[in-house]
Amino acid sequence: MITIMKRNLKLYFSERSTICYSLLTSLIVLVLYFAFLKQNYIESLKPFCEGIKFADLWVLSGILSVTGMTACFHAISQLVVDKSSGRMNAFRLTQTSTFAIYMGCFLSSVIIGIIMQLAVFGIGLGLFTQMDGVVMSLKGIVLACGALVLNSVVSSALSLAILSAIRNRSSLTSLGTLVGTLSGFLSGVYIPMGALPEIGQTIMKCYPGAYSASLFRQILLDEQLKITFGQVSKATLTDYKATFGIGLSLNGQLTTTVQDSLILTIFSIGLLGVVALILKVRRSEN
Amino acid sequence: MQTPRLTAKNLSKKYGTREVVSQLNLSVEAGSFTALLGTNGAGKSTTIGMLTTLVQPTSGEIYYDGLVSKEHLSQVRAKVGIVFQDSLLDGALSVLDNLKIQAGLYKNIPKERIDEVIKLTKLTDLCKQKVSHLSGGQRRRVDIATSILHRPDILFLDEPTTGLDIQTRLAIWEMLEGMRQTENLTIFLTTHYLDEANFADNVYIIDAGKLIANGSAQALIQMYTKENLQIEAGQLSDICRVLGLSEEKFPMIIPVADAQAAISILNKIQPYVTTFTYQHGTMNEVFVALTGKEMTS
Repeated sequence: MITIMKRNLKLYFSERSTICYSLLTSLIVLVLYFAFLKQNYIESLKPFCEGIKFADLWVLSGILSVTGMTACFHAISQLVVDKSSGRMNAFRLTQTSTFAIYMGCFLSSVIIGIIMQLAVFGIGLGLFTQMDGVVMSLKGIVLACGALVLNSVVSSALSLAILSAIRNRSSLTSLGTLVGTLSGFLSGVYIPMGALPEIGQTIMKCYPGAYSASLFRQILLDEQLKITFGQVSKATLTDYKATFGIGLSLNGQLTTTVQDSLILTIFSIGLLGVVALILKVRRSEN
Repeated sequence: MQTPRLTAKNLSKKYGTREVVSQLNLSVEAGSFTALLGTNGAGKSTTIGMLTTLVQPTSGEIYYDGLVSKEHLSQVRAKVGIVFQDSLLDGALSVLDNLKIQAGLYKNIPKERIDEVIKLTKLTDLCKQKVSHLSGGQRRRVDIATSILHRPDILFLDEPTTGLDIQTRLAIWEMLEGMRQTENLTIFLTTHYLDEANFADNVYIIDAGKLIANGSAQALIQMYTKENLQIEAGQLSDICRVLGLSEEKFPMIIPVADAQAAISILNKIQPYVTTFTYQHGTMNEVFVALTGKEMTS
């Protein structure tokens, strides 16, 4: 398991173009934000104090959620490459079990996801600090690091569950594009959750990345919310939080950071269970 | 009597209604070199897949040193090494990284074993190079090195020299022969180059999934081909007259039983002969005689 983990890490980081492409997917959203969306947010948040800092951190939260998913999907793709090339057969002849190979792949993906999110977090926060004077407390940064570990775990589990069922390398590129685009929408990066119809919101709630984005927003915006929406009533603040996906509405209540973390853990365990089931079915087929 | 290293009894594999391997019986002695020959689609790779436990046979049994393969999967897999038809190395990593990764997939392969295999496969100078920068022959050596790290008893090679030039092929064969001695390996291969089977202790020829001939290369050549005496002469009619032959065809090829028969003929026609060639039968002729097909690569 450790050997496969080390191997996949070496393979991933040996290709500079892979890392650049992975980072670029996330950084493009930042560029788009700066180029087109930022002015809109400034206008709509004009009545509020430091609205732009709020918008900066809100966008960064969504980007972090998507970065986890795209980087982990990319990392787990190695499994499909190994299956289609016949490498998995070579692994099967060794003393390492298929389960251990999958877990090695999962662990490497978790690490890759964490590293890539840290890079995007560093670049994003650095840019926002430089341009808009955004400041985060040490506590906020530490909690955000915890959230990105959790996001990496759930994204790796979801990618593993999707890619366990796929053997063909040719479908990988199109599937990767689909995951990149969908994860952006389902995490509410481009459009705030509250702007979507009920059905759209329900679909988002079925996607673990939405809870990651919510967790990131709750942590990154914790202090900024008090400044930006400090003057509004509690009920209005709750409405704003629901609109911007800072906590997702379940049974009429917005989820807390603890609940988001718990939901992400349950998703991870459930998805890994699905992977174990797929492996069991495959084994009986062989 | 010693138990064969590998025995396959009535081995069959069906994909849907299509039978790709049918009632195949094989026996491989320890330390021997066995070649499995067949045209494309004859069932060679499926057979290797079944023998290496990667493909589940539809029926039949495989035994390794008397152990039933499917009942002792992990023990059997520890005895088996395989060089796949397509190289399965990580091109972006170095030769040494590839070897370390392969070693890490087994329990207790010491670092010394990696060094030993590197020397055995003459990879010392290539250790730090990326696999993607290696030539086809060098890559094949790395494939072979990774396949013997765990000291298998039997090494399967699925068309290991396809696409390589003659010098590289010979170098690989020399290396394999050396490993057969030093590592006490049993070698089982499929090949497109029939001359490679000339060295085999035992040759199995399959066609459409069925075994059509089996024996040592020499025995098969004797059984299925003829020795020929090719004569060149100023006047073929004189030779035809002496030997009582009616046909005058150039070059004149006379089938003979053995070398003695050829000498006897040459003695009779010696005054008329300009030059001659004595031709042995080849595995290629055996293959054509049995399958009616030429091997294509």
